[in-house]
Amino acid sequence: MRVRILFSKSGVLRFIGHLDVQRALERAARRAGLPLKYSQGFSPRAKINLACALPLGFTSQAEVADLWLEHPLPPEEVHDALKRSMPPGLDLLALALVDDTFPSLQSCVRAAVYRITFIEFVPDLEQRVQRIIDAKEITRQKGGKIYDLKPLIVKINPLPQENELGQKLELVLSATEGATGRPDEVLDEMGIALQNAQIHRVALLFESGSQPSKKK
Amino acid sequence: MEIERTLERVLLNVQKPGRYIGGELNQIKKDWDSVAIHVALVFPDIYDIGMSNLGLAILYDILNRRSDVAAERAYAPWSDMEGVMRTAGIPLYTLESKKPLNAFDIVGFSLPYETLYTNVLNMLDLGGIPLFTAQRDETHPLIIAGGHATYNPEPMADFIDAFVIGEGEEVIEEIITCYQTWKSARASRSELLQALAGIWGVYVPCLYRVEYHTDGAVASIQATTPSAPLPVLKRIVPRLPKPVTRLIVPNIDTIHNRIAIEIMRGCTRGCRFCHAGMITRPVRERSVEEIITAVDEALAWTGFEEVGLLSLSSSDYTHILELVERISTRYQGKNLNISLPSLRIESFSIELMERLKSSRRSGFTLAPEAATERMRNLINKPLPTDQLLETTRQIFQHGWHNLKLYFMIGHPSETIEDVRAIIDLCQTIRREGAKIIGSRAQVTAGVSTFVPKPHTPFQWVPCDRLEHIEAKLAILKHGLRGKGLKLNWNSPENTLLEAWLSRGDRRMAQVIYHAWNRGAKFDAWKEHFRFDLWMEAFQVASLSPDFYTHRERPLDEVFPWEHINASVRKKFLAEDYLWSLRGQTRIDCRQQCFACGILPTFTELRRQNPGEYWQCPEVREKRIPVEEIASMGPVGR
Repeated sequence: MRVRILFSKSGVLRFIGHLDVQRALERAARRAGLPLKYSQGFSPRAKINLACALPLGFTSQAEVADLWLEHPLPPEEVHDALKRSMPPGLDLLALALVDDTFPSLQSCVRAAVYRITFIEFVPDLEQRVQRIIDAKEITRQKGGKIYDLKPLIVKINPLPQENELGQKLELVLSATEGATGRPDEVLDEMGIALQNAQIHRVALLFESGSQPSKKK
Repeated sequence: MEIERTLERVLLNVQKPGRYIGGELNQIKKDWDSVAIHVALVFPDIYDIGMSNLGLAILYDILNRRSDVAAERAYAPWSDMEGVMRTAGIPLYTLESKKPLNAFDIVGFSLPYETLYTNVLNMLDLGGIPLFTAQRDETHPLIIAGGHATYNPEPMADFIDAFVIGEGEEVIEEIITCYQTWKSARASRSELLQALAGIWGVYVPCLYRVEYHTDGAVASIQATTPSAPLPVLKRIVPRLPKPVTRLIVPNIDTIHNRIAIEIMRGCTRGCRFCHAGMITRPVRERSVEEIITAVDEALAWTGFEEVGLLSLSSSDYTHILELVERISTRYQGKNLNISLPSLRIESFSIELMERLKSSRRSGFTLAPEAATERMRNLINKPLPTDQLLETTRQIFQHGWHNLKLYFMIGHPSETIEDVRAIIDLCQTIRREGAKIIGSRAQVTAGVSTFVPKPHTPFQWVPCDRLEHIEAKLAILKHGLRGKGLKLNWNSPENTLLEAWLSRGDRRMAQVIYHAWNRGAKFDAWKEHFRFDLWMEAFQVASLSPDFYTHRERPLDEVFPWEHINASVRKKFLAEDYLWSLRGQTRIDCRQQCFACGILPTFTELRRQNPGEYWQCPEVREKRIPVEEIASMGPVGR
């Protein structure tokens, strides 16, 4: 049985990496007494797939993962047991059954929506955004690789704010296999220090038909 | 709050920020102002290592069960984080409340091995606490330490206010009570230290005076106050308390990321080099029932994928077969990996491993320690070479590909032939393995250097010279090459540091201080260890390193740890040392009691805990004839 879960990552857990989250989900499922499916071989791994790695330091309300169980169980039961067993900082928001023949999660993700909140006032935020919008090409270098950031930016726009503090930015970045944009790269291009930004993933956008159901 | 806010800004600039955040499942965070006593439990190395320390997990559990105490954790920041902390002005803090170390009432360090000592100084410094006990007053936390290394507390005596010698489960509560009484009486620090010295197992170094002969050897150790016991007897618990099952589940990977359940404490084998085997006597075992219940509970609390059934010698646990059978049946198909360390070299061990066989099959590890029967007899780990070869053959036949063999070099009686024999043995085993499973057969030799540890029969023996060790290692490196053979070794310089620190006297504190002052820290880490700083520190302190490690001690030498009674008698150790020189071995003391000193010391405890729970002979109720009582006179015996 394959189940798809939607969960959040918050608080200090934003400082743990992708593999650590995978391990945390495995342990949560084990505490819940769920019959996780394991791979064969010398070092069996629990079959858990995360849709899209969340960079270190970001919080999220839109983490999606597929888990495989050895035998079918009522989804409500799986949901309740897992919800109770999640560690502090990871919360289960929804769970749905997924047909085992569906393509992998990673291959269905199209884009990620981020909300960036600035801790200190950023002067000329509008202009900085406009420069990104107007750019034809944004050449960046990451890990020794030169790439164009521009086509990875689907959308960028400041969000309405009540006062000078709490400036916010909405950012939609491509998140397909091999073409994933990073919010920290965009910020750097805008001349904004990463330390001045709280980055929160609001949603993952999937190819239509593969989106996880919000109902459990 | 301040620390927390600053942290958030800097954590993305360091490797593995998950080390510094806390917030794990099963962490206990109490409302700071709701508890009277705050204790920081500190492991002087990084989180990844410290989180696997069972001793601190036990104390964390015991202390946090009390409503009047909050126990929190602190680990050494890795050098990148230390730099960030010093720049940003973040003091060393605990993971739970993010409070600086100097806000605690008691700071307790775990000292399982000696190469952590400079980290203790560094952590005190980072925590805003004066390094030397003499510099601290009533406004500073009480600094305590325990763990195997503290059976010779002397090198750290100037830095630690009070040591716990032995097992901490009961004494920690007595220390809390004592501290609380003192705190409410608003008495002086010296009164606190005096009171602590009255607790069985607590050693307060500043209440003792050490005199030296002109050659530097210890002349005498005296208590300077009647409240300080001499000798200080190690603390033991008569029965092992229920294992801790609410273990903290780390959010990042750690060295032993698993449930640890101690199945037995102590060892009856009597290997002469083994510090743990001498200081953890008597042997006490947990019941199979208790262990299985604990595993069940711990799995429900944690969800870990691995359980380590810990002891110094798993094969010697009385009900090992029953335990292994029941555990393997119970958790079959649950993808639970069960590790059973320290197995004897015999086919029965393979049977045990075979029953535990999960689908994970890493290597099989054996510790013959020496490659010749002569050396094995000398260290009292007797084993016929035929049996060793037969066991390794069977290991390959049962499907293991990787065999790890642990050896020790550097005993003064060792010859070059004994060292060469390691190569021959590994090659033979690898050849035999290849006959059975072909070229996949892999033999890895792990070679460490012998340290003559305090409280062992080898405490009189000198260390091998550095150049000899290097020559021996060169032979091994040359011989253990080629397909299917691998050699791992410990740095001989690092072992030498371990030897100085484990054998040193009080004057070593100056060496430790100067080494730290020059930048020594994380001495157990290859990338940080700086031998040159230690040599400089010895010079500054005007002490000779060789004096501590390269001198055969006369049998009547007063050791720096003479006042610490590990309850195995010096006379017994000396006799065992002389036996070793004749190649004479002792059998497992479960078969015959050699009167090491445990029973006379703990007669009453043994009498109160009869049966097979302790692996020492029974002590019967004393039956004193009526006429003898009459002759005792009015005051009795």
